[in-house]
Amino acid sequence: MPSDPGDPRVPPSVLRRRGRSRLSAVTAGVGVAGVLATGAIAATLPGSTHGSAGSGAGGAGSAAKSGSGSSSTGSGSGSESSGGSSSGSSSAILPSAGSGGAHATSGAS
Amino acid sequence: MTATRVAAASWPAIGTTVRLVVTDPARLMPGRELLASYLAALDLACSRFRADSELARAESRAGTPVPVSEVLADAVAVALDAAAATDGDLDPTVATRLAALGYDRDFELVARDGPPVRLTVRIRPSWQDIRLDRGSRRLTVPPGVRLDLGATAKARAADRAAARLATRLGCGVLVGLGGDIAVGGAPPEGGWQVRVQDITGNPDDPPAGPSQLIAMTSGGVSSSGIAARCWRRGDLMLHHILDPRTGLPAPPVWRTVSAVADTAVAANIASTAAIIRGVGAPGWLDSRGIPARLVAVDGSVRTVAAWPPPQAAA
Repeated sequence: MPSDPGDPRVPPSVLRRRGRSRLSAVTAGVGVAGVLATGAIAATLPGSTHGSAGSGAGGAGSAAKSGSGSSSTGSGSGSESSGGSSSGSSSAILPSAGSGGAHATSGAS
Repeated sequence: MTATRVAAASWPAIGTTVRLVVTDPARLMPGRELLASYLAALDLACSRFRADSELARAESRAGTPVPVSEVLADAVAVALDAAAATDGDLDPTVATRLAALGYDRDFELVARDGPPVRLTVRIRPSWQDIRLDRGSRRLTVPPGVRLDLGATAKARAADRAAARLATRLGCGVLVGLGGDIAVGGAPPEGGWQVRVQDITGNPDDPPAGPSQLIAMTSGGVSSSGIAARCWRRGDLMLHHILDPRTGLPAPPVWRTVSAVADTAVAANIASTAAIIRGVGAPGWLDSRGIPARLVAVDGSVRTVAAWPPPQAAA
């Protein structure tokens, strides 16, 4: 069942081992795209190439919101940006992953 | 190594903030149009705040099997599966109770303060009284029942949209609907960077409270919490995650729970049920091997299963 958060038919020890192997594979492979494709989640460790949480590291500046939304483009390295995208409601060019920023946030909403 | 370019857009819809990120900037606008169209159809089918929604029409014909669209049938099916998987923790029939507590319209329109509410305890139909014929897509809502599909419908929509957009656009896609995030297609180098925090916000703004940055390459992440959608009635502070057994907001043990799973909807079920299960949540999550991060009301952080430990937090 796709919406079942954990299959009760699978022993807990197997589930935990499965989760750990998935995590460790990705953790070890952060920055290596070929390895990342096999996993689902990894910690982004402080000091790693992807920095830590917080606001974007400057670059082109903060998102310039207007209207009801915003859009941005940037490179994975944060060192260059692509041409600005136009969503019709706003525009901004920002560094994205790799500059200390996140692609998205997940919290209560 | 060539860095992956990404492009992102955010906009409000279906009572929350939509986040779309793609690994091919040229596909952002087509992706946004597709996603906006999909969400508009979802809202028309499933909103409990629209008198013209398909859900409202089904509720108005209580006790009668009503043919429904694939979108609504799927949303109801997922909600019922979620209720079964959590022994009723996630019960879509709590909408009636939510309305009685004051959350009876889009949250932006709910008065944040108001007089005390008078609550009456009644034995009401539960999720087990909802009838959905999945083959013929006929839905029967018991009399006096209103459904809140929001707990799982957004997460399900993120899953479906991410998969569809990745196929249609031919690139990596992240779809975030409030706290529910799903990814599809090939991820950017380093994976999709998602910061879990108390309240969903602009990724370029610093988070308030404890947060952690994780990277993911498939599946979904979801966060549920009591820090958002709060309102006051009399002396009571209320929030939107109700314990169906009491009809009241779940006791404040965890203010935020984030979980990762194969899908956003599975992650959503886990994180929301954890809020309701309170002190029993860590053991329940761990027994199912669900990586999760739980933030207690005092701000202390606990992780279970394969979630990175708090010291890796930002």
